[in-house]
Amino acid sequence: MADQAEDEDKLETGIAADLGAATFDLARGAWEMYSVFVRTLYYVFRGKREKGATVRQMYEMGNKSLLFVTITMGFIGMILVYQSGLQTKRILPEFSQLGSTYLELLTRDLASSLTALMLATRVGAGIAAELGSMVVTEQVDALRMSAADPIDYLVKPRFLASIVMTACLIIWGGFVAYTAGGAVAYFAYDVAPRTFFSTRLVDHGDVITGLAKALAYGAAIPIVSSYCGLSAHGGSEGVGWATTRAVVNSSLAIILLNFFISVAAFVIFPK
Amino acid sequence: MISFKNIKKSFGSKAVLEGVSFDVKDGEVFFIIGASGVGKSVLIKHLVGLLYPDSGEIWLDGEEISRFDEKAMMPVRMKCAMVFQHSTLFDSMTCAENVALPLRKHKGLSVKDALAEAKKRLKVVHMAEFADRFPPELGDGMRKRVAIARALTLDPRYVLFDEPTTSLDPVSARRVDKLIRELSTNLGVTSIVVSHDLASIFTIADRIVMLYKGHVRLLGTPGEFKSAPDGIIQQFIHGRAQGPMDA
Repeated sequence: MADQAEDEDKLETGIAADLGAATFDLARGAWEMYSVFVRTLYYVFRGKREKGATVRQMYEMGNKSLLFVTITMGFIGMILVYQSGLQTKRILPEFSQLGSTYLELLTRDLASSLTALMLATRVGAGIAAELGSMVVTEQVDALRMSAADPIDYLVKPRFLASIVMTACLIIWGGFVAYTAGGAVAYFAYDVAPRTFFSTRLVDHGDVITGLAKALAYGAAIPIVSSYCGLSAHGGSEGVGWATTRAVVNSSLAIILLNFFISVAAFVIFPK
Repeated sequence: MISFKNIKKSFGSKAVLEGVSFDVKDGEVFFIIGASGVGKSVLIKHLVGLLYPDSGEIWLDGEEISRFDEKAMMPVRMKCAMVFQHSTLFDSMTCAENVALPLRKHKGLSVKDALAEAKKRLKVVHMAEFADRFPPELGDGMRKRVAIARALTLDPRYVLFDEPTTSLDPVSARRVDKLIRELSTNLGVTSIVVSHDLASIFTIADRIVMLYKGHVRLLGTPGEFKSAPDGIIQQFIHGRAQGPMDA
């Protein structure tokens, strides 16, 4: 009995220690990520521009994601309108609100969140893999030896490029999803384009909310992914882990930001 | 002069350096040897602030530098250059741009001036004709020479070489050895070389320190190493599979 009680004590102590360590790691990670963000902002306003670095990243993130975003958002748009139409048909076989409600939802939330989640997988993974490889092959150390701060030299161009290109891709993704949805509404439910493509439910609050989310996601993806890449260690396995963490944490950041910005938007722009 | 005083460093629960102390004299070619994972590369990274010791002191030219922050480390990094094990050239830059980077960042030279200076430096290591080529287009030996040109571009007083002849063919390796020796003899540069290459060690070293289980096992000249009665040292310098060293 005494042995069993001792074992249970050890187990409880072990669980408490594990939880404590996990909480400590989480808090340290959050602080370090915040530090990367603050230093990036510092270099955005104070650092020197490397000629062509941001444009190169804009091309990598934006142009090379265009086809991926077009295809995914096109199909997501078609699925959303088809499913919405099915639900609408069961309750009220009348589709005059379908397009305007869908556009409101896209503008306020879905275009930015879904496109950003797509970009978190492609852009976030790319950033973490590239920076992680540079860390484990000592290229980041070589940069520091050359007096080039990795945050200034590597993170800043990705941050600036991501803010611009995420916003552009979100607008494009929203347009593609809306157009594809309109086509499905026409062919599946015989909704006339003039009825579907109506902007009457969208107000300035929706547009501002959507743009705020685009800006926040555009900033979050490179910061979270760069932090994961720069904290990689231990060779190719470490790079793999950094990439996985980048995708998971960027997606998590997008979901959390979506929640908080949505709450703020409902307070500031009540419907 | 460089002094390591009682340096201790652990990674998690693994103690790597457990009180390492030695001095490196000006102008000498100083080798750090020891089994893989003993902390040789870790030790030299402390000198340029790429790692920080858990305890102990590092003195460089009469200044204690082990607690310097990133900004205070910049003059140290101008004085102490480092050639990394895998050259670590940036693949997205040409060879000239790689060599020009420290000139632009440390000295604030314009891109044009830095590139012109970089091409001169590449000429010294016989790589001028490859100035506009990208590192992935070059062999290991050529990349190593570009990395050396980059390290020397700020005219450092100290150069840290992390396994400079690893993965090089014997001819390229001896050329690198010759370059290290000439840096010391002709320019008075102090070289600290981490290496397993016995041919290099006994050809160009002025002094050698051997690390074993987190401590200094022996510090001495190549002759003193050859005549040391210590079985562990004899096993290491003769590369014997059997002996008192732990597997």
